[in-house]
Amino acid sequence: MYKYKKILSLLALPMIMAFFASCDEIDAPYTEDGGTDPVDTTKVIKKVLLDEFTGIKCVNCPKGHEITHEIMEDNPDNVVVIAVHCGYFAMPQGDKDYDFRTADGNAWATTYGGMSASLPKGMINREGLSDGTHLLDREEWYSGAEQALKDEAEVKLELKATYDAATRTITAVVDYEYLVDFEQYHNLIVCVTEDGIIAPQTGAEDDPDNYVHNHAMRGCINGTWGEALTEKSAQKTYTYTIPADSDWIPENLTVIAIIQDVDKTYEVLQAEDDQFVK
Amino acid sequence: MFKKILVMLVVAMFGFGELAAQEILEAGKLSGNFQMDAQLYNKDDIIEAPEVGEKILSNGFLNLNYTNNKISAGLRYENFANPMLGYDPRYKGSGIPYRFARYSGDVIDVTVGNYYEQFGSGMILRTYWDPALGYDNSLDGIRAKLRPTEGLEITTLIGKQRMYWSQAKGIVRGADMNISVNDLLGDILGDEYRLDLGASVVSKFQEDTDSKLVLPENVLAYSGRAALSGSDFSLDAEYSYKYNDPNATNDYNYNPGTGLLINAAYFPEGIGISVSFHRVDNMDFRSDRAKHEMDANINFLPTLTKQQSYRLATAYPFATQPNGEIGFQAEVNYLVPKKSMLGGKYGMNLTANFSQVNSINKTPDYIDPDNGRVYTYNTNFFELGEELYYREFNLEVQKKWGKKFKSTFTGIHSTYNKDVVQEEGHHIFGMVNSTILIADLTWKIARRKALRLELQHMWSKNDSTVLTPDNINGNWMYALAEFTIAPAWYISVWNEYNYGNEYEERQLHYPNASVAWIHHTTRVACTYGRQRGGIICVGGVCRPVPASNGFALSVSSSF
Repeated sequence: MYKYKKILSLLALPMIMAFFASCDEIDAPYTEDGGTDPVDTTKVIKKVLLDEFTGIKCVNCPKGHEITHEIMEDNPDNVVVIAVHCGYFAMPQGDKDYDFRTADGNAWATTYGGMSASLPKGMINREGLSDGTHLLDREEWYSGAEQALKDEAEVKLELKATYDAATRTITAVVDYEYLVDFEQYHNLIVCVTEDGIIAPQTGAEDDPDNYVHNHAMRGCINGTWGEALTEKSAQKTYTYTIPADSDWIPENLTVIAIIQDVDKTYEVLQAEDDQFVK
Repeated sequence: MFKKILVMLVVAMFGFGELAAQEILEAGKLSGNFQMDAQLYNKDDIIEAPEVGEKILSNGFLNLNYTNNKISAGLRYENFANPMLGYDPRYKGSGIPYRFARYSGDVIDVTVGNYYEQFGSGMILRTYWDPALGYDNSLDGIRAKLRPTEGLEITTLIGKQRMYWSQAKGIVRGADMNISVNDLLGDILGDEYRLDLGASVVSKFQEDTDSKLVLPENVLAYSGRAALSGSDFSLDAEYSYKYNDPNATNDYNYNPGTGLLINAAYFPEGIGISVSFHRVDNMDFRSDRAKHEMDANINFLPTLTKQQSYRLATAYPFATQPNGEIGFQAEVNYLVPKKSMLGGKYGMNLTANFSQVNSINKTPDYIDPDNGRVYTYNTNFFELGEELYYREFNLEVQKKWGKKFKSTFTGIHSTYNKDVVQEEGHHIFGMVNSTILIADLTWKIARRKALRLELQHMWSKNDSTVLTPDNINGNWMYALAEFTIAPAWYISVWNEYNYGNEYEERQLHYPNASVAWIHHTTRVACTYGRQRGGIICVGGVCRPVPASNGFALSVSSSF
């Protein structure tokens, strides 16, 4: 009897193990079939704000930049990007290194956790995640952006940015209108980013000493957390004079307007960008 | 209070309503341990120690375990206010991330809640907690162990993994079978030999939400193992296979993963010889395919190289490259007999260790005709790749010179592929060649007093010119003096000096002083000084550990 118990046990164990052996094997082609949904051009789109926490000494950050580029290409005009250089990986260490860090970017990075995180990390509409954080790994950005683009817009936002070369003054005119009612309105943050900055980047495949940095956060022109809105719709105008000793190239600047809950959820309700030179 | 809560938990979970909680309380045993580490941070521009807004950061935990005959339950409270530098900021907060109840019978052993488990060597499943590393990938679910007859055990489990204060997206399911041939079949092998066999399967489920790739939602890994041992030898081997698992670490490649680990040891009297071989190919396995670093790891791939504890020997730590490596290690341990010319009165212990890890060669197989992306590759299983990842030779001599003096002398020469371990293979630094000499001397001054000196020197040079200044390159010196008044007091001072840094302004000292007091199971330690920064690499992805300057306090106790 004891002998049979052993034999039965030996036979039963592989069956129990087989119960746990679920698997899907995928054969080529590995890509999904194409297919797009028809676009309703009259609808107010809720654009996606992608904050990319990055650094010049972060070897994986160029891969993050590639994903950002892919998201923008696949969703033209619907994605707004800010590259916030922060933390250990953004510290310049050689004479050729460029210091992309800004006080406003550091404040954001501290609030959202990017300052001490391994990079790159990103945020889609600065939304809080189930684990209480805001940061996504780079492979989560694309699907996160896709998902967020399905959200209904709650605010309509228009931005017109101009630049006066004589006075080196940026003017941003923002029109907003809430499409749904809220008990309390949110904050309007207006900031500036710059494309085309040539500087070293660790991990770049080609010519790492002359990497093209895009969407680099330059600063906020109405404060790190912007201005609290008090009306359902209004027009706001902000001006900012680029300091004389600054190396910003106006043709490469982008002005960004964000409507965000800065008190509770940190969620971005709408974002818009505009360049001076079209 | 805790004891009462735990008992109520057990009673509720197992439905022992007829048992009075008071009876369980009286018959049971409560144990646990506590630790708190805190540091006051000062900004130190020279060593690039950042300013810490909170000034003080701390990590702490309390484990409580209640055992009563076959029933046990426990929990762990953790507090990160906020996480200390070098720990993942996602730990910020406090709570009870670990709690369990368990019934351990002779035939069945069931755990509900959180649990830690390892199948074989861990190549397809290992969950563990290491507070010093800030690592916890415990499973939360149900685990059942069955022992139908002597020599047979099967473990089945299902659950989701901890990820900081939440859980990873995927569900982990698994089963492991252990067969002790000696126990099952009696004296078939005789008393001299022992044979153990094992097999495991692990499958993870994660929804495919990717709009571009067709991703497998269920990924299976399996492994088989055997271990044979005798009175003076042991031999064990494990082979593992993982089906297509495109993920962030392997750049969404669809190749299967494989792993092979072989250990052999021969240890007649006075000498011990061990050799190990391992090959890993595409074996990063997580319950969230988008995650990196130390997030949601289902398995564990230990490094084949010697684990170092001396300070300068940890400057260039090697980490297993899960996407592909092949390596071997050999160690010889010889005890020079007492009363011989070399051995003297007390004998002498000699240990020599050699390890080498190389790449594996891969050639593209399926290339997407539309975008040129490589989705699968071919590889020759036993072919050594051309690129050297790591090579190290160690020689250690331990000798007791008399009743009051003993010494350990160590020499290490290593070649470290910094580009692979820290820079994802980008050619930036090349190899780092270093040679380290260490003298560890202990002098027993009096019956309860001892003085230990540690003197270390590292000659280190990068293959390429160091173009970017950092606080690690070049030669280092290290000296430590530790005065012990047994059993309570440990007083230490030490200094690291990067005198050979390529950049003169970075030739810095890192002085420290520490006092530790021990009373039974309680330890209190205070340290003041500078810690150098560095990079910690896990699974080929690195995260920074910033330099720090300040006062650190550590309190731990167990009961």
